[in-house]
Amino acid sequence: MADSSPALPLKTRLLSFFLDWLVWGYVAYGVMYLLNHYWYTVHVDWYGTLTLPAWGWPLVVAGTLEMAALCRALGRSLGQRVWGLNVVSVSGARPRLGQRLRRAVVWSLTVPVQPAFAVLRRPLLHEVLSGTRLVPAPRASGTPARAALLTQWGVMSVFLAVFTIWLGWLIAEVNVPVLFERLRPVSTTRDARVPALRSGEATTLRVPATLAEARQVFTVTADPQGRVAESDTVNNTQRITLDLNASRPDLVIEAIIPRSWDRSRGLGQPFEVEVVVRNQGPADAGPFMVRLQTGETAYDAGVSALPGREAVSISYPVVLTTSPQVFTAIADVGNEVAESDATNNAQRLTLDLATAGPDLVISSITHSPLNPDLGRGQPVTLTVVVRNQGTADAGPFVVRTGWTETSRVVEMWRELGNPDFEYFLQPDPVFVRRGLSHSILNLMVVTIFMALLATVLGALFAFPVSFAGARNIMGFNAAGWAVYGLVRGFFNVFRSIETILWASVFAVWVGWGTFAGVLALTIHTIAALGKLYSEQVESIDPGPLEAVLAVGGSRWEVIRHAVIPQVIPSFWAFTLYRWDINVRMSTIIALVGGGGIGDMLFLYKDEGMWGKVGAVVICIVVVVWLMDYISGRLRERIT
Amino acid sequence: MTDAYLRIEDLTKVYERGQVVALRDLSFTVAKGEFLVVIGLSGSGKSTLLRCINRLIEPTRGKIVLDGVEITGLSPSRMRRVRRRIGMIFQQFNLIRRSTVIANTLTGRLGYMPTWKAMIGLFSQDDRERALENLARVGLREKAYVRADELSGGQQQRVGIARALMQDPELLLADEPVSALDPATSHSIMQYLEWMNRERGVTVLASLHFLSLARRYGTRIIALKDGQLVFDGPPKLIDNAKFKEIYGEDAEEVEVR
Repeated sequence: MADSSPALPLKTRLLSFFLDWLVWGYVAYGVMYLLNHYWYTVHVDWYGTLTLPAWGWPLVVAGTLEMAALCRALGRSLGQRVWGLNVVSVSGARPRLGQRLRRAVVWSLTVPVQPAFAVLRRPLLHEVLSGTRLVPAPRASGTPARAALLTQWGVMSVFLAVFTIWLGWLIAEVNVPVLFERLRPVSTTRDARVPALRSGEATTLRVPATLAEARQVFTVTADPQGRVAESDTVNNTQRITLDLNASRPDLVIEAIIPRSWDRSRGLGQPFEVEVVVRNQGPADAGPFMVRLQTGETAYDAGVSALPGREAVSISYPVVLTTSPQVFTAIADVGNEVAESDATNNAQRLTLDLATAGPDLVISSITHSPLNPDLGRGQPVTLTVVVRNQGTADAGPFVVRTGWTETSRVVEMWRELGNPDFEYFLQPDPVFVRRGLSHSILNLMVVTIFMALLATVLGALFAFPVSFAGARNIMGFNAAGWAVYGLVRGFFNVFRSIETILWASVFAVWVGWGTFAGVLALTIHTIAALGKLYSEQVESIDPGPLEAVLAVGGSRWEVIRHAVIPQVIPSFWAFTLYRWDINVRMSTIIALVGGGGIGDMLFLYKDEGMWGKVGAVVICIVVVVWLMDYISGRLRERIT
Repeated sequence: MTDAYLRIEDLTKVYERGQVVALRDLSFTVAKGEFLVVIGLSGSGKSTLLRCINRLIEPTRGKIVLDGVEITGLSPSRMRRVRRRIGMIFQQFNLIRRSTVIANTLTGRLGYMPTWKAMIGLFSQDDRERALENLARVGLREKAYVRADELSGGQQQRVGIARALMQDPELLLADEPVSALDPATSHSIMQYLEWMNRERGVTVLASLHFLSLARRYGTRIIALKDGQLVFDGPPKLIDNAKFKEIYGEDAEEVEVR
């Protein structure tokens, strides 16, 4: 059996086997990863208990090897397909199943001694004993008999693709719901118990709290569980907005009290409704109107002024026309007062001839003075007055108080969409204190010049060096090849290190600032442009080179008169394109100390001043877009 | 044989890759003022032969003696001085397509300039006048400042001729100068070569595909087959049998009018 010796190089055989083994290794890794993930998702408290025993690893290795060998013997594996190999019978026919099985089994049993056979160039045992051989497959011609996806390999690749996406989804910790969760407002509440509240009486609660944001809403609800059988259940909630930076009035209806009203006098009786309006904010409120509305009828009264924390009482003569009848009082009905919270101005009262019932309302919410200098996180005490404006006593109930925080994400987007151009021309005092005159315009100019300088310096360096990185210029002798390899190596290594990494290195070397940024951009520009230039030089028409050599030109003259004229237009195009990239890069290298507009951008970002971030981002977009447009137009003209 | 202007002895060229023998012990001489046409099938070694003469291709073996100087052993700098008197025009014209016609023409003077002047592209006023003169000679005076790729094929080849004229050549190598051109243009180009040969006394070595052109313009024809000389003599000696020998049994002679 002279022809049963290995029909193809050992290297090909090993490589194709290694690929199959790799696929099964990947599947094994993935299965273990998924097992771990779902195991601990269910049994959080058993974390760390699902481990492989010492003998597990050899088992995994052996198992994957065996799977690979089985795949290779029983069908046509991925590795065999990639290297174009096929298992055939010695006669050249398709091997029978028995032969295939024998091949796999013998292989598994003789793995330890296989290397010896391979090294001695002896026929491999499993091939001899099964009467099969691994040979280069003839090139497949024509269309396959079955649709590609229905073949074993098609099924396998669909499985691997789905498996990979599943794995990637978990490994990259993709979490889509959080995108929406973070948009919802967050509320933190606490409940206070009130044992009883008699008709017409009020009780006062003091709630200590912490102001987490500069501007926050505090909401109070009486009897949130609905334990009390009230005559009106929709008037139990009131709110107040606390604003660190603004001192504003806040009008609320503290009480609606029916006077000289008697259930026994029935419908049609005239009586008076007293409305108490309180300014629960610290600042004075100017002239405003207070409306009492019932059915289609509205009564308006004017208030000329209401100082902070004060209340005013207004009486309206009304007639009872239906039962039950709802009276709604609205403070500042014309919206003339700039309040800290304009959504808490209404309150209502229901009068019912038939039954008596309690009716809990929140009269007012006031808070201890805020100190703007203490900022966020300062303690604040809120005083809540709960009143029973109904006609019967209320039993035990709870008062729920709590902060309603707008989602920070929503807040961020709102501010970003409302850009603050205060420091576009005028330097920001934050930087002035450090002796820097940073306005958006100033830094934008600095950024553009950084990019320009880096591009010009980079191009000047890259231009001569790029010829040394071109095969058709250097590839004539050993020394040339060495220089070529060196230059290309330099280009590839330095290009694969991102500008931002260079900037962090130079920020340490020469200190934070624009110089470090320019150096970083320049280095990366040299490498990137150098590679592009070299490739351009390599792709030129060799004809003119021959022509210049034929007239007696030297190598230098060939470069000057045959190469450069051919490549100059594309060099310009690449350089302009690079300028474009550099402008974009220079806006962010300040993150690691590279200077430029990023100095402002990242300070504002860190301070959560999203309005100012928005302004800077808009300026960057405008400049980058302009550069893009200009360089695009120039490139069109050149080539 | 002492009066031979160009003498080629046992010239052999073997391409390293694949061990292709392009030229096999080729020997012949060329007298001054001859218009020698080299014919043969594609791949018979015509281009290699012409490029070996100005050593754009380094011969593997053999001797080339030009005007009494053995050029096979010359140093690169001496070789450049020889090359500047050897004009060459190419099948694909080998112009810099994006440069102007005059810039392409002026490159013909590079061999005569000091390197520093060449590097900064400082051509003398005399050279510029001469370039315009030569362009006028090939009928392209008013195209001097047009980009080369805006010209037709025939016009581009005329720029190639003007570039060769800039060298004041003693010898002109024309590597299939008309293969990329239509018949009418071919004749106009060949007439320029004939003019150079007759009026300027330039020795011309041209490789051609068409036997009819070779018969019309050549004073002598050599034929190559598989890198070997299969014919050497005046055009009228090529009869049908000879033609079959050069081009193979199936060949049919086509005429270019």
